[in-house]
Amino acid sequence: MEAFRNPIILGFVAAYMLLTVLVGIWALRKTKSTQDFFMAGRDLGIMVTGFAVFSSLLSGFGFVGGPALVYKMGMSSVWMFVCVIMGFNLSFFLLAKRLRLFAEIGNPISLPDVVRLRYDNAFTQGLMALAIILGVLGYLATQILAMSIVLQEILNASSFIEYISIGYCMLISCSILVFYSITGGIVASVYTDLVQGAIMIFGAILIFFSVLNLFEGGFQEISQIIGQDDAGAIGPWGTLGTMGSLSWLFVFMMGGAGQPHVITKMMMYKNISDAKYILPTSIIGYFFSALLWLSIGLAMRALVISGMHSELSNADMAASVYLQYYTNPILAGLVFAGLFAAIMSTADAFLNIGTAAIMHDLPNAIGIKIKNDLFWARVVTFILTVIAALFARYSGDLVAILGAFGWGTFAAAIVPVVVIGFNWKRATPLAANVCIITSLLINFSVKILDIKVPYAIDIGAISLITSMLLFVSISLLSKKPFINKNVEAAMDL
Amino acid sequence: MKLKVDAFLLVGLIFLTLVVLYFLITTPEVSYYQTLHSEFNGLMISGRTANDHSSYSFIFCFGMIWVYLGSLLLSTRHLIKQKRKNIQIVMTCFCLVYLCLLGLLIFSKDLNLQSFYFGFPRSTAVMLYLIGFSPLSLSYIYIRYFETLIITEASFKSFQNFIKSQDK
Repeated sequence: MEAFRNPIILGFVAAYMLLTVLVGIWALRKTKSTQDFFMAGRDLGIMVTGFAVFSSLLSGFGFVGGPALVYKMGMSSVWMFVCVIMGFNLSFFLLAKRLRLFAEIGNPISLPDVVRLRYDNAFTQGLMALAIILGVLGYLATQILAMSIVLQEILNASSFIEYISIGYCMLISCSILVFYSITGGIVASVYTDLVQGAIMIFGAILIFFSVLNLFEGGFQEISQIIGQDDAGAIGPWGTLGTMGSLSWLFVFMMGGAGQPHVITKMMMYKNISDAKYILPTSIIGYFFSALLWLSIGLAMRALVISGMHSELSNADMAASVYLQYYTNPILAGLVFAGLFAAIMSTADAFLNIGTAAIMHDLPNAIGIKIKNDLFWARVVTFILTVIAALFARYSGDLVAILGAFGWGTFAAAIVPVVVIGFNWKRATPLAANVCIITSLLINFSVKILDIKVPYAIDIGAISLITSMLLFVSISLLSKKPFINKNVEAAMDL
Repeated sequence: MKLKVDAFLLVGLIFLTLVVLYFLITTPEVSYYQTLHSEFNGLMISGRTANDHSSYSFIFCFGMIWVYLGSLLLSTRHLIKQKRKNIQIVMTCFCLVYLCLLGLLIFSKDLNLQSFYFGFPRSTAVMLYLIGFSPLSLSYIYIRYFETLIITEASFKSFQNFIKSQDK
């Protein structure tokens, strides 16, 4: 079987891609309006929503960047997913019901739409759309780049292709992504998320057991090898130190509720009581998928330290090297498909909210009404993919800057305005506007000027604290806001 | 006395901001060291936090959990007095337990590489299993008491009808 390793891996990836195309064709028949395209007709079931929530959250970063961080700094990055249940609790206690209730008022099709409804302010909608577009561009470009690099590695390792450039790999992966996103909109996105989530869970569980059997003593031996080299690395704070790890805990615990591609899904489920089952579904899915993050990172660090594997030239290769050399070909094929699934599930979610922000929210904020909106939604989806691909290909470091900028900016802009503001009647539009502008300014200036924060405190934590403080204090200092009767009814329930 | 959640959250945020400002103003080098691992292509990082930094870390944690609790309590504002009080007590107790677990990690100085629990040193096992899974207790409350604390299907239907009647 080892002789057919690369054809097997390629076969799994091709089968996965074919499956997403078929889902796209199936979803085309279900997408008849912009409500269907962006909100899936608010008709989703428990499993589909639960899987869509967790698989959108766990992007390619979880499958590529996560193991790389464990390889580099030991247990520090584990704080990013140890706090995930705290994050899900915050999202569900504060948002799952509230967003679903708001979705009943005036048929909103995006998060900025609901923000406008809540604050009765077009400028706030425009600012929220702008923050989403900037974040989406970086995130989407990063996902496209990751997808193309992995595809290039797989194709170049196969015997029947001599060399394929990154540009062609980008073309292949973007074509599939754009096909099912255009044909089926969010319907295709959430149903592919279901498939993608299942592949991610299954692959991650198998990888966990493969790592368990890699060393005779299992994880204990791995811990001993890493600990003997550098005790701090296997300690609870890793090598980033206590403050750095704690600031990650804060940003991911609070910021999970501020990721627009995730919380938008909370407006799409059918029955309100489904929320109580969507929460455990998302937690279980995320927990199993995150096993890969920890397992591969620790395994590769222990393999390199013990001299069983040569040094990696790039930490981001930890996952692909482990799959190539330490798993059987079928498992490698399955997990490579899972890797594509993780990347695509996040990319399609970003594509959807980015399209809504460009095609619907920005024009709405300046008073322009678009006719034939379903057609334009499909056109904008295509254009956005092309721009993100070109951006990924030619903008150099800017992709990394915008990619890293995404999580913290979304957290700082959305947690106060949406998570707090949708549950607190005293919140004012002025506070919301100041908060969004502050989050953009802090995150952009720190990334562009490459400012180093002492104690390795994450800048996302600082911008989140600042924007929350400004939001609450400005709201309390300004005049009590006007709230629409329907919105007030939704907030009182 | 009725707890003013917004005031509670605001004070928590001011506290956390002051703590972070203090960290940014003071000299960091005395308590935190980070170097590149001398081997393995310089990709692996070594670093440690000095023990005298523990109390600062705990104060940061305290502020962080305060803000989290303040945000979480906002979800109880729509409840009637008795229900609100009960769930607020539960949420506060949970956050205190979570803070204690974080404190346990921050103040436990030695990393014992002789005793392992489920494959990891004791303090790492506390982080992975206790800190990681203890929030499931809050998730359980959300699921078990959904109709009492969050919403019933009937009130959702009447809300839908109310919105429809407004649209006409």
